[in-house]
Amino acid sequence: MNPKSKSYLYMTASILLSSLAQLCMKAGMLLLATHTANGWPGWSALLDLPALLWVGVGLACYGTSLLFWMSAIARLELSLAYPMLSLSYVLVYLVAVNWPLLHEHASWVRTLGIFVVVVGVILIARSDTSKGKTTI
Amino acid sequence: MSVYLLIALALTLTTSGQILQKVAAHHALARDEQTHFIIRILYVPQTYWAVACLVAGTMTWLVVLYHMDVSKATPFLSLGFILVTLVSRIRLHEKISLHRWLGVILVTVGLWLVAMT
Repeated sequence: MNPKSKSYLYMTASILLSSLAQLCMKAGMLLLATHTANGWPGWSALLDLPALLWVGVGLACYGTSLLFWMSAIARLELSLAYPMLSLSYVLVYLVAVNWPLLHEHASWVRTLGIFVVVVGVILIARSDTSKGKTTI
Repeated sequence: MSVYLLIALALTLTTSGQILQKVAAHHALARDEQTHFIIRILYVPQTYWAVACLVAGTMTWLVVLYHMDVSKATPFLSLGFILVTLVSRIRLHEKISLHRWLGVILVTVGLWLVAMT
Protein backbone atom coordinates (compact mmCIF):
# COMPACT_ATOMS: atom_id res chain seq x y z
CA MET A 1 0.00 0.00 0.00
CA ASN A 2 1.39 3.45 -0.82
CA PRO A 3 2.17 5.82 2.08
CA LYS A 4 -0.72 8.13 1.24
CA SER A 5 -3.40 5.41 1.36
CA LYS A 6 -1.82 4.17 4.58
CA SER A 7 -2.09 7.67 6.09
CA TYR A 8 -5.78 7.84 5.19
CA LEU A 9 -6.28 4.37 6.70
CA TYR A 10 -4.64 5.51 9.96
CA MET A 11 -6.81 8.61 9.93
CA THR A 12 -9.96 6.48 9.52
CA ALA A 13 -8.88 4.30 12.46
CA SER A 14 -8.22 7.41 14.56
CA ILE A 15 -11.65 8.92 13.76
CA LEU A 16 -13.47 5.63 14.49
CA LEU A 17 -11.61 5.18 17.79
CA SER A 18 -12.18 8.75 19.00
CA SER A 19 -15.90 8.42 18.20
CA LEU A 20 -16.00 5.12 20.09
CA ALA A 21 -14.17 6.82 22.98
CA GLN A 22 -16.83 9.57 23.14
CA LEU A 23 -19.66 7.02 23.22
CA CYS A 24 -17.96 4.82 25.87
CA MET A 25 -17.31 7.86 28.09
CA LYS A 26 -20.92 9.00 27.68
CA ALA A 27 -22.23 5.53 28.61
CA GLY A 28 -19.89 5.39 31.62
CA MET A 29 -20.84 8.90 32.74
CA LEU A 30 -24.56 8.08 32.43
CA LEU A 31 -24.02 5.15 34.80
CA LEU A 32 -21.86 7.23 37.16
CA ALA A 33 -24.50 9.98 37.24
CA THR A 34 -26.78 7.61 39.16
CA HIS A 35 -24.40 7.98 42.15
CA THR A 36 -24.65 11.75 42.54
CA ALA A 37 -24.55 13.48 45.88
CA ASN A 38 -24.86 17.29 45.83
CA GLY A 39 -24.09 17.41 42.12
CA TRP A 40 -20.84 15.46 42.47
CA PRO A 41 -20.28 11.72 42.04
CA GLY A 42 -20.79 10.00 45.39
CA TRP A 43 -18.21 7.61 46.83
CA SER A 44 -20.26 4.59 45.74
CA ALA A 45 -19.27 5.52 42.16
CA LEU A 46 -15.80 4.17 42.89
CA LEU A 47 -17.29 0.69 43.30
CA ASP A 48 -19.39 0.80 40.15
CA LEU A 49 -17.20 -1.49 38.05
CA PRO A 50 -19.28 -1.50 34.84
CA ALA A 51 -19.36 2.32 34.83
CA LEU A 52 -15.62 2.61 35.48
CA LEU A 53 -14.97 -0.01 32.79
CA TRP A 54 -16.84 2.08 30.20
CA VAL A 55 -14.84 5.17 31.15
CA GLY A 56 -11.58 3.16 31.16
CA VAL A 57 -12.28 1.67 27.73
CA GLY A 58 -13.11 5.20 26.52
CA LEU A 59 -9.78 6.56 27.73
CA ALA A 60 -7.89 3.61 26.18
CA CYS A 61 -9.65 4.29 22.86
CA TYR A 62 -8.57 7.96 23.09
CA GLY A 63 -4.93 6.96 23.70
CA THR A 64 -4.91 4.54 20.76
CA SER A 65 -6.67 7.08 18.58
CA LEU A 66 -3.90 9.60 19.36
CA LEU A 67 -1.19 7.19 18.17
CA PHE A 68 -3.08 6.50 14.93
CA TRP A 69 -3.59 10.25 14.51
CA MET A 70 0.12 10.98 14.79
CA SER A 71 0.86 8.18 12.32
CA ALA A 72 -1.64 9.78 9.95
CA ILE A 73 -0.41 13.37 10.13
CA ALA A 74 3.24 12.36 9.77
CA ARG A 75 2.65 12.26 6.01
CA LEU A 76 -0.41 14.46 5.61
CA GLU A 77 -0.74 18.23 5.85
CA LEU A 78 -2.32 19.26 9.15
CA SER A 79 -4.66 21.70 7.39
CA LEU A 80 -5.88 18.74 5.34
CA ALA A 81 -6.22 16.16 8.11
CA TYR A 82 -7.47 18.22 11.05
CA PRO A 83 -10.84 19.37 9.63
CA MET A 84 -11.57 15.74 8.76
CA LEU A 85 -11.74 15.01 12.48
CA SER A 86 -15.17 16.65 12.29
CA LEU A 87 -16.39 13.36 10.78
CA SER A 88 -16.19 12.09 14.34
CA TYR A 89 -19.00 14.54 15.26
CA VAL A 90 -21.02 13.11 12.38
CA LEU A 91 -20.53 9.52 13.60
CA VAL A 92 -21.28 10.39 17.23
CA TYR A 93 -24.42 12.26 16.15
CA LEU A 94 -25.68 9.34 14.09
CA VAL A 95 -25.15 6.91 16.98
CA ALA A 96 -26.51 9.31 19.63
CA VAL A 97 -29.84 9.73 17.82
CA ASN A 98 -30.15 6.03 16.93
CA TRP A 99 -28.79 4.21 20.00
CA PRO A 100 -31.74 3.53 22.35
CA LEU A 101 -29.56 4.09 25.44
CA LEU A 102 -28.93 7.71 24.45
CA HIS A 103 -31.91 8.44 22.15
CA GLU A 104 -30.98 12.11 21.76
CA HIS A 105 -33.36 14.12 19.62
CA ALA A 106 -32.72 14.62 15.94
CA SER A 107 -33.95 17.68 14.05
CA TRP A 108 -33.91 18.93 10.49
CA VAL A 109 -31.48 21.71 11.36
CA ARG A 110 -29.05 19.24 12.95
CA THR A 111 -29.32 16.82 10.05
CA LEU A 112 -28.69 19.74 7.66
CA GLY A 113 -25.62 20.65 9.75
CA ILE A 114 -24.29 17.08 9.45
CA PHE A 115 -24.82 17.26 5.68
CA VAL A 116 -22.92 20.59 5.48
CA VAL A 117 -20.01 19.12 7.49
CA VAL A 118 -19.80 16.12 5.13
CA VAL A 119 -19.79 18.39 2.05
CA GLY A 120 -17.00 20.43 3.71
CA VAL A 121 -14.92 17.32 4.33
CA ILE A 122 -15.39 16.17 0.72
CA LEU A 123 -14.12 19.56 -0.52
CA ILE A 124 -11.10 19.32 1.79
CA ALA A 125 -10.33 15.75 0.67
CA ARG A 126 -10.45 16.91 -2.95
CA SER A 127 -7.94 19.64 -2.13
CA ASP A 128 -5.27 16.97 -1.43
CA THR A 129 -2.86 17.31 -4.32
CA SER A 130 0.18 15.91 -2.50
CA LYS A 131 1.76 12.56 -3.28
CA GLY A 132 2.12 11.61 0.37
CA LYS A 133 5.30 13.62 0.88
CA THR A 134 6.03 15.19 4.25
CA THR A 135 5.60 18.89 4.76
CA ILE A 136 7.26 21.47 7.07
CA MET B 1 -12.15 34.79 35.28
CA SER B 2 -14.32 35.64 32.34
CA VAL B 3 -15.62 32.62 30.45
CA TYR B 4 -14.47 34.17 27.15
CA LEU B 5 -10.91 34.27 28.48
CA LEU B 6 -11.25 30.56 29.28
CA ILE B 7 -12.53 29.90 25.75
CA ALA B 8 -9.50 31.73 24.32
CA LEU B 9 -7.22 29.66 26.57
CA ALA B 10 -8.91 26.40 25.57
CA LEU B 11 -8.64 27.25 21.85
CA THR B 12 -4.96 28.18 22.24
CA LEU B 13 -4.21 24.93 24.08
CA THR B 14 -5.99 22.64 21.64
CA THR B 15 -4.50 24.41 18.61
CA SER B 16 -0.98 24.23 20.12
CA GLY B 17 -1.58 20.56 20.88
CA GLN B 18 -2.33 19.85 17.20
CA ILE B 19 0.66 21.81 15.90
CA LEU B 20 2.96 20.08 18.42
CA GLN B 21 1.60 16.67 17.36
CA LYS B 22 2.43 17.47 13.76
CA VAL B 23 5.95 18.64 14.70
CA ALA B 24 6.46 15.53 16.87
CA ALA B 25 5.31 13.22 14.06
CA HIS B 26 7.64 15.03 11.65
CA HIS B 27 10.62 14.55 13.99
CA ALA B 28 9.70 10.90 14.59
CA LEU B 29 9.64 10.32 10.83
CA ALA B 30 13.20 11.62 10.57
CA ARG B 31 14.54 9.32 13.30
CA ASP B 32 16.19 5.91 12.89
CA GLU B 33 14.07 3.82 10.54
CA GLN B 34 14.79 0.48 12.22
CA THR B 35 12.27 0.99 15.01
CA HIS B 36 8.52 1.17 14.51
CA PHE B 37 7.07 4.66 14.03
CA ILE B 38 4.92 4.38 17.19
CA ILE B 39 8.05 3.67 19.27
CA ARG B 40 9.87 6.59 17.64
CA ILE B 41 6.98 8.89 18.56
CA LEU B 42 7.52 8.05 22.22
CA TYR B 43 11.13 9.27 22.04
CA VAL B 44 10.21 12.74 20.75
CA PRO B 45 9.74 15.30 23.57
CA GLN B 46 7.15 17.30 21.60
CA THR B 47 4.80 14.30 21.86
CA TYR B 48 4.52 14.86 25.60
CA TRP B 49 4.08 18.62 25.23
CA ALA B 50 1.32 17.89 22.74
CA VAL B 51 -0.46 15.50 25.11
CA ALA B 52 -0.08 18.01 27.97
CA CYS B 53 -1.66 20.76 25.82
CA LEU B 54 -4.51 18.47 24.71
CA VAL B 55 -5.27 17.31 28.26
CA ALA B 56 -5.13 20.88 29.63
CA GLY B 57 -7.24 22.07 26.68
CA THR B 58 -9.90 19.41 27.29
CA MET B 59 -10.01 20.26 30.98
CA THR B 60 -10.41 23.95 30.16
CA TRP B 61 -13.30 23.10 27.82
CA LEU B 62 -14.95 21.18 30.64
CA VAL B 63 -14.74 24.28 32.85
CA VAL B 64 -16.21 26.36 29.99
CA LEU B 65 -19.09 23.88 29.65
CA TYR B 66 -19.73 24.16 33.36
CA HIS B 67 -20.43 27.91 32.90
CA MET B 68 -21.99 27.84 29.45
CA ASP B 69 -24.60 25.80 27.61
CA VAL B 70 -23.22 23.31 25.05
CA SER B 71 -25.21 24.91 22.24
CA LYS B 72 -23.63 28.30 23.07
CA ALA B 73 -20.11 26.90 23.50
CA THR B 74 -19.92 24.67 20.39
CA PRO B 75 -19.66 27.55 17.88
CA PHE B 76 -16.52 28.67 19.74
CA LEU B 77 -15.20 25.11 19.79
CA SER B 78 -15.64 24.80 16.04
CA LEU B 79 -13.55 27.98 15.55
CA GLY B 80 -10.67 25.60 16.35
CA PHE B 81 -10.88 24.25 12.80
CA ILE B 82 -10.31 27.74 11.36
CA LEU B 83 -7.53 28.44 13.86
CA VAL B 84 -5.62 25.22 13.14
CA THR B 85 -5.88 25.94 9.40
CA LEU B 86 -4.53 29.48 9.90
CA VAL B 87 -1.66 28.34 12.11
CA SER B 88 -0.81 25.49 9.68
CA ARG B 89 -0.41 28.14 7.02
CA ILE B 90 1.66 30.53 9.14
CA ARG B 91 3.81 28.16 11.19
CA LEU B 92 3.94 25.00 9.05
CA HIS B 93 3.96 26.89 5.71
CA GLU B 94 1.17 24.76 4.26
CA LYS B 95 -0.56 26.09 1.17
CA ILE B 96 -4.30 26.40 1.73
CA SER B 97 -6.21 26.36 -1.53
CA LEU B 98 -9.56 28.09 -1.96
CA HIS B 99 -11.26 24.66 -2.01
CA ARG B 100 -9.74 23.80 1.36
CA TRP B 101 -10.77 27.11 2.94
CA LEU B 102 -14.28 26.64 1.64
CA GLY B 103 -14.33 23.12 3.11
CA VAL B 104 -13.10 24.34 6.51
CA ILE B 105 -15.77 27.06 6.57
CA LEU B 106 -18.52 24.55 5.65
CA VAL B 107 -17.32 22.23 8.45
CA THR B 108 -17.47 25.12 10.93
CA VAL B 109 -20.92 26.30 9.80
CA GLY B 110 -22.19 22.70 9.80
CA LEU B 111 -21.14 22.24 13.42
CA TRP B 112 -22.90 25.51 14.36
CA LEU B 113 -26.09 24.13 12.84
CA VAL B 114 -25.71 20.84 14.74
CA ALA B 115 -25.24 22.74 18.00
CA MET B 116 -28.43 24.75 17.48
CA THR B 117 -31.34 23.40 19.44
